[in-house]
Amino acid sequence: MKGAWMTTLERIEIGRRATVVEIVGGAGVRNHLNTLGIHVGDTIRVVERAPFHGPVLVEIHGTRVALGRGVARKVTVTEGAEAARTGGPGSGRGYR
Amino acid sequence: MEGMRIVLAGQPNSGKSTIFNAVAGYRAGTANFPGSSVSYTLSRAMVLGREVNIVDLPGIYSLTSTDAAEREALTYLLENDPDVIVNVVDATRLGRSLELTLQLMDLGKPMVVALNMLDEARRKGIDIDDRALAASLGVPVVPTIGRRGQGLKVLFREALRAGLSQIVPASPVYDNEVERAVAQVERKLEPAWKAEPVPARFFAIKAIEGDPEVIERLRTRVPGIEVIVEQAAAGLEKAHGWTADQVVSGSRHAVAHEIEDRVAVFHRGRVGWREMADRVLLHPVTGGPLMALILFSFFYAVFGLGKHIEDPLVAMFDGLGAWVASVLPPATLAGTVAKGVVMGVSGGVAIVLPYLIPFLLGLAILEDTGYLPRMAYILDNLMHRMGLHGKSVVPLMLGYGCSVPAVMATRILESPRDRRITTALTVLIPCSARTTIIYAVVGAYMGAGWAFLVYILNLVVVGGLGTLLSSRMKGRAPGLILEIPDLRLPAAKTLLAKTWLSLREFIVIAWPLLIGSSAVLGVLEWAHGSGVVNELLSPLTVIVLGLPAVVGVTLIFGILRKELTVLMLIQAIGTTNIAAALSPAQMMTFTVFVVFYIPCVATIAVMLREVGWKDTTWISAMTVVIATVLGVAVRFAFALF
Ligand SMILES: Nc1nc2c(ncn2[C@@H]2O[C@H](COP(=O)(O)OP(=O)(O)OP(=O)(O)O)[C@@H](O)[C@H]2O)c(=O)[nH]1
Ligand SMILES: [Mg+2]
Repeated sequence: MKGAWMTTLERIEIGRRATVVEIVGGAGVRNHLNTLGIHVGDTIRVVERAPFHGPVLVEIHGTRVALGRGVARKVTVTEGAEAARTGGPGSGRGYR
Repeated sequence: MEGMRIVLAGQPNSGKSTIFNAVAGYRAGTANFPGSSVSYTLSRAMVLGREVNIVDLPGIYSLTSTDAAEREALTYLLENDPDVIVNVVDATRLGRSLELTLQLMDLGKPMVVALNMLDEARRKGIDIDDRALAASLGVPVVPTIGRRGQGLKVLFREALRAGLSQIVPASPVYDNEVERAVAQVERKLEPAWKAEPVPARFFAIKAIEGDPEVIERLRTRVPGIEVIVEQAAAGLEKAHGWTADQVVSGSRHAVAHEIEDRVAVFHRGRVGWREMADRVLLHPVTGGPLMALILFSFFYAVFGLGKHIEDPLVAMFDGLGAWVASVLPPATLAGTVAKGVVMGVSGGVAIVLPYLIPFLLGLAILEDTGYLPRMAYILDNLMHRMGLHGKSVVPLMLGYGCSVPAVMATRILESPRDRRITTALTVLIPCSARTTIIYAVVGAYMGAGWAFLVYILNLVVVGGLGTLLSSRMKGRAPGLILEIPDLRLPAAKTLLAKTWLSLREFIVIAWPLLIGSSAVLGVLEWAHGSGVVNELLSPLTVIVLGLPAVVGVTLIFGILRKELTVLMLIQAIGTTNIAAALSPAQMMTFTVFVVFYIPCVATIAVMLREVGWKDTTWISAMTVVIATVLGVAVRFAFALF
């Protein structure tokens, strides 16, 4: 799905949605975000952006999480919501 | 089963401590931010006529820890072999919470799910079919509203039943490839896994997720296991094209959300005052100024209220003191002890309580509305400039209440370096005891503006020191990652219970100490012992700081409890009218010195436990240096202007 419209969460405007494509920068941040319910394939809405390079406030599955700019930069996204959770690791398979 | 152990586990801010307090009495701190409990609390309680042990754990997002508070919960779950796990789930965050639930189910313990915060879920338009949820998980599910105590009877009845039957939930089934990889590792572990409290499957999953502590632990039991784990992980990566940890957690995520989709219906929620309030509170333009306004009003309200109560009380106790002195002359031993006791009692009632009560209430309101994590959001970029990040704001703000829980609260920080720096800064923040001193000395005699100045000076020093320490220590955390809970109207009952909890600490521990110390000081004075101490300290107090020699002994008592400095001062000078003994310049010097100098014994004790003796030593030494430098600076600033 790599394409010209890929950007990072840091860049998404207030009120817009984006879908997580990749979380870069090591297992530490990735695990931390995963445990807060942010995974590859999820749709995130940017609620607010603090001034002077402050954090971004995002909404994910109905909860709000503040992410410092450095963290938001590590989240690669595509603008817009995916129709369904697809493309994520382990998605949609296996539960009986 | 005698003394069954029921453990409350769940994601942060889901209401564990609230449920715990409902059965055990208010003893675990609750607040509206993730990470309000950082250590476990155990209590005996009667449940349906049976005595059980109930344990409240710090919140955990998953069974892989990212900070010290989570580590404590995890260690408890793995080492202490609980009889029943009560998994408290925030119904408004069902999907995410179930990711933890699925992991807990692998611990091989009887389990009950408390579907909590149903009132909030209803307000948000979320309908959850609890029966369907129970059927999907294969675990009993009890709907609860912890704050009103609803459903708790049923919850603990189910917990007892689960504990007695010892029926263990079936392990959740993940993606086929994940299952294959897990089985591969589990098979290797099985022979060495006899009569273990936690099943091999749990460790197999964690190992494949790459948890270094787990891998190390398994290696000592089954040498060579790391090779198998690596093979299994590599297989997963090949099949999915993602790292093994992402495949496992992604698979769990998928299962959790599949269940959520099946059991929950989302209607359109109401946009209420919470969303509106957040729009202005977190707005890029209004957020910062509003925060300053909120904190300033808080400061002013406490001061105004306290002063109103203090003045008549002080007059009354001065009258009482004069009467006692006329009956028992202070020159006799009985007289001097009586004077001490009266001063101790009156200091507590007339000087400490008037400020302490409104202050604690105000702080409780800040905590329970959920404003603290919002401050972390607003202040993140400022904290970044200091080399920390926004999360440090939470312990720092708690420091205004008491340094002891504030030092503990640094456990919510991910990096050890951030923890050390924040601990050093936290002990410099004026706790409620020091606030009493600032209000009762500088505020009461020099005016609120001067008192405010002390706080500003304090913040400047904290900021400067933070920047300095940060520039010298490596290992900064990657940045702010903090859940911002919904705003909430605090419940009056909780506010009162919480204020009372801190107040009781003052009344039961500090007050007797105050009165006892006053009596001791009385005897010391009678025997001319305090003169010796004052003499010894006079190079610092008189020559360097320009204070009267009588303050010497008060500084020693102040190490026990910071309030003691003022109370001992009153006693040493023989009146509650501090202006009779200190000039404005001296009041300011004294207050600034007392705010910064050495942490009280309780704080030193908790620092020793949390950061070790080395850090405790340099932090304590540093506070004395800072206090002395600032004291001298204030003295000369007053002399010059
Ligand atoms: N509306 C509502 N609020 C609740 C309910 N249960 C708890 N709360 C509130 O939710 C907040 C968090 O509760 P706590 O009991 O501190 O949560 P916790 O799970 O112990 O949190 P940590 O210790 O941070 O993991 C507090 O402000 C409670 O008053 C509930 O059923 N409904
Ligand atoms: Mg708690």
